[in-house]
Amino acid sequence: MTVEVQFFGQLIDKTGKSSIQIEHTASLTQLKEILFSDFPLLKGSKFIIAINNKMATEHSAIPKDAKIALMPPFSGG
Amino acid sequence: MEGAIPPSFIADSIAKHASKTGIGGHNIFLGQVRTDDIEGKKVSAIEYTSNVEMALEKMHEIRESIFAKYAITCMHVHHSLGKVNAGELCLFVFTSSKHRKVAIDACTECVEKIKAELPIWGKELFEGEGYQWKVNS
Repeated sequence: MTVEVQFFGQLIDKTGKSSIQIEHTASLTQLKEILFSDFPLLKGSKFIIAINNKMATEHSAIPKDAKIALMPPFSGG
Repeated sequence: MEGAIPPSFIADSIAKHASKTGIGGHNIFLGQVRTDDIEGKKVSAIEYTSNVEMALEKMHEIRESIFAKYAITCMHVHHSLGKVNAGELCLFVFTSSKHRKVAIDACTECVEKIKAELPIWGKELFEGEGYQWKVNS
């Protein structure tokens, strides 16, 4: 079972990818551990996480079919 | 919308309100791409990308909150995606109301929310080569 993780803005520079599929994890903490080990440059970056288009917190559960978005500070306008 | 917002689009949008005779005041904010000078490098364009699904959802929320707070007749918002050259328009916010103050305040609040809450990112492209990611103040 995998989940889709999307990267936006400058995070694409840090990962070299706009989206990846990774193994499903129960928590965001576990997910971040995997991401930080695969993409070390992400570690120092500021970002917020959305799960299925809803803002997530550290304790949010990750559904099996989740689409996860890592978003750096917004800079529209 | 893709690319710069044409000034003629804004003129047409204003013209469409001629039939809404209850309106007494419009307020328009236009964002324009500025040629910033960063350590000798000039910004020649901004390339905008977005988490489109979330941006549309968030824009709907912003819209609802502005309509709930201000007695505006209507509000229109357009933000560019893709490349917009320096001097071209990248944001158009247009509010209308019976009286000017409501239209002005609603427009200002909407612009602030767009900058702070919409998942859109600007990549400032330098003349020649190179870029940096825009940071909103």
